[in-house]
Amino acid sequence: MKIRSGFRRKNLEITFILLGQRFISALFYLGGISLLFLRTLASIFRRFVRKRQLLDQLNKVGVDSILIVFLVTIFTGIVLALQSAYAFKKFDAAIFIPGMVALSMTRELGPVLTALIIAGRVGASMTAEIGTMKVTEQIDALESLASDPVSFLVVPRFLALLIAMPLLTICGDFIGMLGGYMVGVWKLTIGSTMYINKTFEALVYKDVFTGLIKSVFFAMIIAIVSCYEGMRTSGGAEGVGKSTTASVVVSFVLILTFDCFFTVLFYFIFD
Amino acid sequence: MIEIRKLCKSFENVKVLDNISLNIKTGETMVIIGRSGVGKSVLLKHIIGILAPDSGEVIVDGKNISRLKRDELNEVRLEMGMLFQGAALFDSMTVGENVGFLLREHTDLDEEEIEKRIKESLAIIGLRGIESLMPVSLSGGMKKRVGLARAICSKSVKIVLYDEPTTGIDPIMGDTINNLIISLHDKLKITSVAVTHDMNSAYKIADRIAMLYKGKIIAAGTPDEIRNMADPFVRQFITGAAHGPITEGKASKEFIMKEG
Repeated sequence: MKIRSGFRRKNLEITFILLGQRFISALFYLGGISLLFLRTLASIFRRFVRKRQLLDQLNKVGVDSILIVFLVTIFTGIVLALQSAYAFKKFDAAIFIPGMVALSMTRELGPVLTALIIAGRVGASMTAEIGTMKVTEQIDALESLASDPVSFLVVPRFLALLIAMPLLTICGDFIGMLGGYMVGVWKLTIGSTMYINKTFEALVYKDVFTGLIKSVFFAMIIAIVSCYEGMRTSGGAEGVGKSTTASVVVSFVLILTFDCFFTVLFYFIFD
Repeated sequence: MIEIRKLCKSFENVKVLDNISLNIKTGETMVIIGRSGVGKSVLLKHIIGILAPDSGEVIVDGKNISRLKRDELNEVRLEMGMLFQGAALFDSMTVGENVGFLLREHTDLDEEEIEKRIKESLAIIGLRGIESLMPVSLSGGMKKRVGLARAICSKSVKIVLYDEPTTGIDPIMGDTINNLIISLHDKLKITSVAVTHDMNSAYKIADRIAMLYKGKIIAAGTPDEIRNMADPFVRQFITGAAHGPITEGKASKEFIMKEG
């Protein structure tokens, strides 16, 4: 019995030590992210912004992502309209579909889906690029050439995401509604004018506006997490792979967590 | 002058540099030798302030590198150049953009003057007309030479740090790089610090050689002094013998160089 209880105590001790270590490393991670965020803000206000790098990043983040945002949001709009048609038809309430699609897209699905797409497509590529620069000593080389890696690498990516994300979100909102419109007009025979009128009846500025606030925060999360993961990469190609995975996973979790937080916050503020 | 005083650095509880002191005089070429993974590159990165010491100081021309603010450190770095082991050229930029990076970022020179300096730097390292190539299309030796051109492009460079300048390239290209280091030293009167495990290169370019072993400087002297040193650790390293005190993992006598 004595041996057994000693063994249990030992196991409990190890579990607590492991939990403690996890907690401390999570604190370090949050600290690192916060510090990089503050250094990025300081760098934006203190130094000039490199236009060439910013335009290059805007192209990668914005222009190159339009097609995938288009595909994902149009299908979501179509599915959303069809699924709600299945339920709403039972109550003879198909006329509410335009409003429901518009509100779902602008308040929730537009910003979140766009953020998840950008985290997977752009965030991962940013981490892989910066991570490769780290393991091949290019970031050390930047420092040796008297340049601040935050100002050179993080600031253009941060600003590009901050500019492109709300624009992509607006596109996503609109294209999602277009998907709903296609189902509404061609399948549910609501009528084009009626569909558009019902959409704008339901939609108010704050719906679009709260979605855009979310997208700005999501942009900051993606930029800082991707760059932070890239800059702390070590261990060659395997390390780059690990950082890229971590970057996408952490971005996804933070996006959904902040989405929940903002949804609750806006619900109580604006209702 | 570079003064390294009681420098200590650990990574994940492994002591890489253990109370190192070393002085490198202005205009001197100091070569630090030692096995791979012994902390030679770590030492170089402390000199240029990429790594911060756990304790101890690195003083470059009277300025304590580890205590400088970021902007002050960057001022000092403008007078330093570093050639990295894998050249560390920025792959998203052309050779010309790599070489002229520091001039475009930190000087008010007009584009014509910068282009001229890029051409001059590439001519010094014997590569002409490759400004528009991307680093991915260069061979290992060419990358190293472009890395060197980038390190010396600014006219204000007084100190150049070389991390394994001849590793990973063929012996002929290695000797070309050795000659470049010597000619840069002679022409530009710069202070050079090179870390290497290539003894031919060390003998050829060094004014003085120091050997790093288990985090400490265990020997220092001119190339001839090192060549004739009786210390079994130094002898095993310079002769490249497979058997000896280093491979048996013995601790060296505590020879810590005291200078100045």
